[in-house]
Amino acid sequence: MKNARFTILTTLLIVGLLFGTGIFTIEAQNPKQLIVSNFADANSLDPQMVSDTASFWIQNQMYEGLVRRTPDMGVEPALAEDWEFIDDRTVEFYLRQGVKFHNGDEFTAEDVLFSYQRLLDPEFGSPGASRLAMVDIDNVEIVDDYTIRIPTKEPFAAILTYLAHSASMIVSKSGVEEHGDAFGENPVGTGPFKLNNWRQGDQVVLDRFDDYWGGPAQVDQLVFRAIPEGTSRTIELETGGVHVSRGIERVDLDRVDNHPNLVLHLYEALRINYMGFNHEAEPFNDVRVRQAIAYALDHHEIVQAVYGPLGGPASGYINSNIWAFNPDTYLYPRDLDQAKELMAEAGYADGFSTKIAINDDATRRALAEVVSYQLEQLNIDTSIEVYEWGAYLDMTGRGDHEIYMLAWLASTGDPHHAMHPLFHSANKGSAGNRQFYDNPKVDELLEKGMVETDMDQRMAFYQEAQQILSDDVVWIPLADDREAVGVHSSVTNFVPCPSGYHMFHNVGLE
Amino acid sequence: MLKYIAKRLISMVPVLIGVTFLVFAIMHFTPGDPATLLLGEEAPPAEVERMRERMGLNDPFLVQYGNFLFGLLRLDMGLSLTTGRPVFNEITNRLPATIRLAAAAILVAIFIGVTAGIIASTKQYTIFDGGAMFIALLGVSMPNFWLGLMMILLFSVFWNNTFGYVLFPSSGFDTWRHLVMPAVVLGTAHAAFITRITRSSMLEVLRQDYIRTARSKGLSSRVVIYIHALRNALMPVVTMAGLRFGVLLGGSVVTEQIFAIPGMGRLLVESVRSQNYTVVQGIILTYAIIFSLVNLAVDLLYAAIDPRIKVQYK
Repeated sequence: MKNARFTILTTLLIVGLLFGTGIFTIEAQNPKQLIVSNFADANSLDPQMVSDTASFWIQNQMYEGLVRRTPDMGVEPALAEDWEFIDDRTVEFYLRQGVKFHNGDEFTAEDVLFSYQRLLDPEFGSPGASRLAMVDIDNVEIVDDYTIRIPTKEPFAAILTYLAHSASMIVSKSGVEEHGDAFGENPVGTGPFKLNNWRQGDQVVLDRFDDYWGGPAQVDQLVFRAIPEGTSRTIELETGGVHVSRGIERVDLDRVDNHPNLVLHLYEALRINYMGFNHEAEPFNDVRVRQAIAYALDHHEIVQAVYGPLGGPASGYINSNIWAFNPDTYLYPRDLDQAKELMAEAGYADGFSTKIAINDDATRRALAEVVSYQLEQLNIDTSIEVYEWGAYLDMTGRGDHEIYMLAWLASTGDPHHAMHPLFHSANKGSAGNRQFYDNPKVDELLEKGMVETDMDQRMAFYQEAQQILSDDVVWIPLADDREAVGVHSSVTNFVPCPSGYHMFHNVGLE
Repeated sequence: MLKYIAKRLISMVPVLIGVTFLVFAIMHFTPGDPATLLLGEEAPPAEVERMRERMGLNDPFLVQYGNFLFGLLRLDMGLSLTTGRPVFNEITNRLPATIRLAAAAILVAIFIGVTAGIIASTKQYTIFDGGAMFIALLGVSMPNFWLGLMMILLFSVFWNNTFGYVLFPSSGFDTWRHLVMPAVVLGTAHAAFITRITRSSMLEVLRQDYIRTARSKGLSSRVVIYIHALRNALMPVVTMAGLRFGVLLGGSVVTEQIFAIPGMGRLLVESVRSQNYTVVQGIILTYAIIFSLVNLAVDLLYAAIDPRIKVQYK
């Protein structure tokens, strides 16, 4: 019976493949295991190797910086207990004593210097290097094991918020030296959770770090599962597969909100979405045309149609959660008569045709469509051109665009980060100023804001700059992002953070 | 036989070189700068330039391609641009999930396909035949993601709401229960092809003289169908199942995405999105190798089924 033998052999082969890949293993359930769904897996568990939010969120549970962000976007001590500006370009940090790394080694000033040197080493090529580019790394001075002086190349007022950024988190010197290139898979930090097991593409399992200086975490294990599909994340949340799910999509908001066992947290994120112009291209080099377009748009309609509860009309040129936000920035209300008048003055009474460039993203597509529809009322005939992300950045960086849609996330929460890259003439093109805006007065204010250490003065500079941006209609702010997190009711103490890096040290499970 | 296998393996080399060249050229001439994507939209241009230099992106095309080929000889496909890990490891990390899913799905497909095909052919023009063919048509036409979502609604959401537990979890890849829904979703789509080919091949064989002879000898119809007819009808079925298995080993983008399975399909999509060209090259090359090997395996299986073919393999 050759036939039978063949069938049996083939079946054995296939079943063997199933067994061989370990499908029939039984997983033990941990009673105090908090499971979180993330929209992607971490790219690396080395904070100096990544620049994406999925990775940073996980890393924030395992590493800490000298200082860290509070949920209301302030800065609080973390690995540094205290600090002092000893002159206008040097901060002296007093480090916490008795802090242990996950490998048992003690945290000292050596680790701080090592981390920053590694981040800024051109050979290492960290994507986060620009975060600390202002630090004068060659002159960092270790006073003793628990005191370190960090100078900046120029006076730089926002240094603390940059040190609070995830890219500036401290890695263990001995850990990096031990694991070398594989440090991203063998992370050693000081945070409340340490790595247990990482199944790449699937899940990261973290264990509570019992020697954490801030006291042990509430749960034994923290698991981040990578679930790319929004609907799947919500279903897992509903059916108990995860306890916390980030990035609840608009279609699922009501479902989560109305569920008896789920709590929906909607919070303001730090991102601002805008519609930009190329100021070097006609007719957008004429401020009257830009003003006319600003008067022609109905922001409430745009936000309602495109974002629903996941956005609010933008109220200025930086996200309203950033402390130097100017609430009095003039926002152009909808006024079609005024708009038409300005168009006529600029010589475009009969309108013109132009292109709106976007990257391939459903929200941007919807934005472009609504804007395009609203611009028809000024006889502005628009065609929408969709680019793949890399090509889009390239093209807008070169200045081959007319109108474009983009967003800016000032992840440090500092106005310098929110404004300097976007509006300073030194940053024209791919460095951030994709509208090729050039105003010496704004340049001057942004430079003053960068070096001024008096916070009230700083605020005044930035607020004045925001008003000028509005007068010039540099771009049109469209919407501030809101993000939705779904949390199971058995989870206690969950506090959403505007940066998106919600912390789990104090979060418990009932 | 061994000589034949060796010959086939050697003939794979030019195919694979062609594939690498095509992929490399496509990725090279795709607009967008990998260094910009790696550093993020806020990176200063000087830093981007430094990164381009480090990554060797400023070298001429042929030099870059040459370096790539040279690396391949040492199984070095470069480093992933997003994770910094060797591409070889990235792929071997994702292969088990894909192989597991493909094996389960092809079992589902063969089981459903061959059974339905036999029923349809032996009961030609009856309601069974019509039913089997209708289901086959439905299987081919039904989008994966739709069937996947319906199954999730039924076995995860509805089951949980009614019975208080989840029959099959909607995402993840820990236990056999995680495997059921994706395997069925993928299996049904491929089962349809196998049903059709089994049916037509069986019908052809059942009309042959030797089948009539077998029947006239008084053999039971079970023996006639399963021993005499099926084996001879299997050739095209094996070809089809083999090719389908090859397709499945490439990973299923949609199914892996919906069920959050860490397989090759998802890795490919993620890599294309982030222009992680080293990983894309590695995956396509792996696909090419898998496909060539599966084709070879199918040819060898012919010999197991039909001894006449074995004679030709010299």
